[in-house]
Amino acid sequence: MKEKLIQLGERAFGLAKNLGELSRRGPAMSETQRFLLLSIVIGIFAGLVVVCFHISIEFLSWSTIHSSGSHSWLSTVLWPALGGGVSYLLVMTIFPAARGSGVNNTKAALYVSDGYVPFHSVPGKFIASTISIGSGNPMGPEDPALQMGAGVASLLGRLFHLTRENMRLIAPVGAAAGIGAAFNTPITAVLFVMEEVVASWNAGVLGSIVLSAVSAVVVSRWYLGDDPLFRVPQFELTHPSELIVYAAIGIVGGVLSAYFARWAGRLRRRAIGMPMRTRFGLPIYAGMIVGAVGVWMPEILGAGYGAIDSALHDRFPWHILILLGLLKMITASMCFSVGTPGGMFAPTLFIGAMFGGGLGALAQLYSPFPTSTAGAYVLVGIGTFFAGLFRAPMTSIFMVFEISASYVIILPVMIANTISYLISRRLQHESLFHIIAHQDGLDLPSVEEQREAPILSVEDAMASGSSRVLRPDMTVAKALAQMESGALQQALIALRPGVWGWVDKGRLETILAQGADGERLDASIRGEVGEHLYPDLSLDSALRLFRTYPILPVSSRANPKELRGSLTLDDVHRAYGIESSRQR
Amino acid sequence: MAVRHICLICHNEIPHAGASCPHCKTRLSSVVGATPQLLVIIFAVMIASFVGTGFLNGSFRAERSARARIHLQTARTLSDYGLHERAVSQFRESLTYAPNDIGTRLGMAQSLYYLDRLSEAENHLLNLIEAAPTLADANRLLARIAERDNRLDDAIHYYRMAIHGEWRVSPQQNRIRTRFELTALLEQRGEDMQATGELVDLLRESPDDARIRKRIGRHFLRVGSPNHALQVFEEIAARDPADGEAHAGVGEAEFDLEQYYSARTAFQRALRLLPGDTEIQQRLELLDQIRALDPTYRPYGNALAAAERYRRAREVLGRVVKVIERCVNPYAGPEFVGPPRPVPGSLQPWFEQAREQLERRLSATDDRIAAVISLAEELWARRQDVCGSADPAGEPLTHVMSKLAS
Repeated sequence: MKEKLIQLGERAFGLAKNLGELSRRGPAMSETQRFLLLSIVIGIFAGLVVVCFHISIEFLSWSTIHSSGSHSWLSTVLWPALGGGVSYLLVMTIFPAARGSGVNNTKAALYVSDGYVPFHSVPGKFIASTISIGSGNPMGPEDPALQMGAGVASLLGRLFHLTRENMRLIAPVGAAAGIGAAFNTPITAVLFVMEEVVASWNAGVLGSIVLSAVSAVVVSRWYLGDDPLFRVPQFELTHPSELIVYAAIGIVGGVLSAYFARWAGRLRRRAIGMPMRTRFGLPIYAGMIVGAVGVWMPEILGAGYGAIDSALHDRFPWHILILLGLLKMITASMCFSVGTPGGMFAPTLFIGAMFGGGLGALAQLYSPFPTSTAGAYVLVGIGTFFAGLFRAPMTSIFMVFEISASYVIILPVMIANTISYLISRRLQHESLFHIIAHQDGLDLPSVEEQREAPILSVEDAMASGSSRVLRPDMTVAKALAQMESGALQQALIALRPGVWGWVDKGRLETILAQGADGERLDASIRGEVGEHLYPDLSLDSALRLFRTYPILPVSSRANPKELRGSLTLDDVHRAYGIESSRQR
Repeated sequence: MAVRHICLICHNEIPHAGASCPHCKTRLSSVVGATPQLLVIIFAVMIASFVGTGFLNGSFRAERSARARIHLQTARTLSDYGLHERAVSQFRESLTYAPNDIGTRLGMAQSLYYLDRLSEAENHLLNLIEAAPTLADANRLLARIAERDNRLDDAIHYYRMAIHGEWRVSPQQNRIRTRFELTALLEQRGEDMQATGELVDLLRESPDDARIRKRIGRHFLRVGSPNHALQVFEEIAARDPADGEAHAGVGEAEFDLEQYYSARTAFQRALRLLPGDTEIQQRLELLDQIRALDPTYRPYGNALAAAERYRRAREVLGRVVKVIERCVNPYAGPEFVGPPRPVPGSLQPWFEQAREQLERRLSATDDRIAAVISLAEELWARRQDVCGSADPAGEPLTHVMSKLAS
């Protein structure tokens, strides 16, 4: 046995040595390739951390809220209070880097600290969140998992001395791994990071995020099994009129998520404004309230996935579903605001599921058309609150599919989540993450705002038609006269179909001053324009070309030889509302 | 951990990032920061983490299984005592630890079914068959739920899935029981052909157990397959001549086949073996009434005398007329005051003819007998117009008319 272990060790060392040798000898792999490879390593480590995190929470909850020996009301009240207090104390004293939202910390790493996430935030989040969630506080493990993934990634990035550019992106790569492993949902993880954390990405970034998420999920499934988060019975859309109910679920989800964000933000601001001594007590009081509610409604304790599963199987009547949703809203927002460690992903799923199920069960009772079982509405409701609160509609849609492994109700999910997202945006301008970031003194970019910022395109600035086009056989004098009459500084010369030259007024004036006013225009051109624009291109991309050419032809995509107009730097300035140099 | 910069073109070392390569003058460089030691450390940490997580996961799984087992045992005990509400909560606890355990989910669905929480039970079962479509236990319970919800097509589908599925315990016994349930459902829906098919399969699959076979025989009778029933009961009776139930079954089958003589013999044999059986006695009495009324009856294979056949034919016609009169005037009796309602116009000519036949007393010829019988049949066939679903005809007349029609 010992010899075998030694042999195995030698082989491993040999392999690593070869890898090292490969690395020492030179870049057999480019930086991008190494980054991709590192993404897999990050995924593996993040997956391992999240598996341990999951197991630790379970172990702790078996000793506390699910303890078979001590099922007294007093222990149910005290465990969340104790867990909240201890975990808060830990993050305030020993692990300050583990404070706050994992999403915002990851975004801060990307936009503020060049990808640096302090490694002690990983054990900090691990221990504090395990204690908090395992003792029954109504928080979720996904957001801490996300930050742990980012922390692991940042450490590995530093060890591998990545370039600054790649170092910045390493935290989101780890975040995707963390969330993927926690939810057992690789697509959701990738989409969430794309929708919420990384505003601009290319194939390399996407590849890294996908690789890390997939490898983390593989590790997670290796240990915890490949079952989806929920076991969803077979559902189908029984009647087209049912879509009205699904739309109503979306409306309710949107309204509630908007007010929830507002309320939780206000509550958090008030909690932050309290004296430090009082703040230490808040998680304990919040935990006590959670415990007191848990005595009566144990479903709200912890992440609450078991209760969602029960709701999916039609366990609860409509009034219990709505009550559970309300109680979770109150308790989760309370714990979140006072700083109890844990994430808001699981609570949002819970709240959405319960309200969706409640409305669905009501529809079953009173609607004039046939309806599905309440479980179908629970499933659709799951993503509505999430879409509204986190402003991640695509993630919310794919998340429902992935956590349920059920693709049969794509239409209702899309309708409900989109409605919820739109209503929430309308009622509440900022997302929850944004509110928290502002309260923490950070001004992190909102991916949603970046995504929706109006982009000026070439057609917004260009001069249409051929007013700036001169014939090549014109004389210089005639051309100058035409430019002066049109107040043009530059003009295009149509050399051949699809081939353009350019000339500026100064050049023509010089030629004229030299007395060559009868010279043909094609003899005096400054050069051919080697580029052309299309009307849909952004002005940003057009700007790069003005370093070489003062005027650019704008062609039709259907026929690049066909001129649609022309663009000059002054046109661009005008579109951006900047006074041009001539005007100045 | 030395960090070095390598030229991307010629792979030679360059002094720092951004510097031009001394060999090829390019400025493209790559950072190489992973020394063998670092890779070994990371590799070792990864292996150690895998092993550590494996151990942790092992103990987690063991603890989870143990907890699931305890709750499952408690749930089963509670369920056995009929305490389904408490059993469900224990099953639920068990499922939180072992969500994929088929037995637990099935047990919970069973308890929910007994608690009449059909929708919840159905959802759990649908979960199960989504993962294992051939799980017979789940399919049978789904069939029962569908039957209770009056979704009979679904119920039949699930019963069939259960019959051809995989049973966790006692497959043969469960399959037989399920086929019986399906047959009963098909009988209820009046799908006699399908029910007969199921019973034929059941007969082929069932063990050589007289109790089961007699049950199959009785179902054959109910779905109108007296030939199959006769075969089944005769076999049992041949094997055990002291089995009174088998002889009674033979009697019933013969009766349905309108073999009144053989039926009587079988019933008599059955009554000798089961002397106190009132049902068999009633059957014998009915047989005697039919034999006394049936104009086509051939005792010992010989036809009755023409006069007797004529008398019986007139008797049959008279009873049919009375049936129709009773349908037209259901409250007619000594306390009835007022004129009786007339027979509907559509029946009137036939009715007049019947009255005429009954009033005339002519000598019996084959033609006259046939005419009377034919008239009785005509009226019998048309009685639906006035009687509807309520049929006030007595059993002997019904049997005789059915025999005449056949």
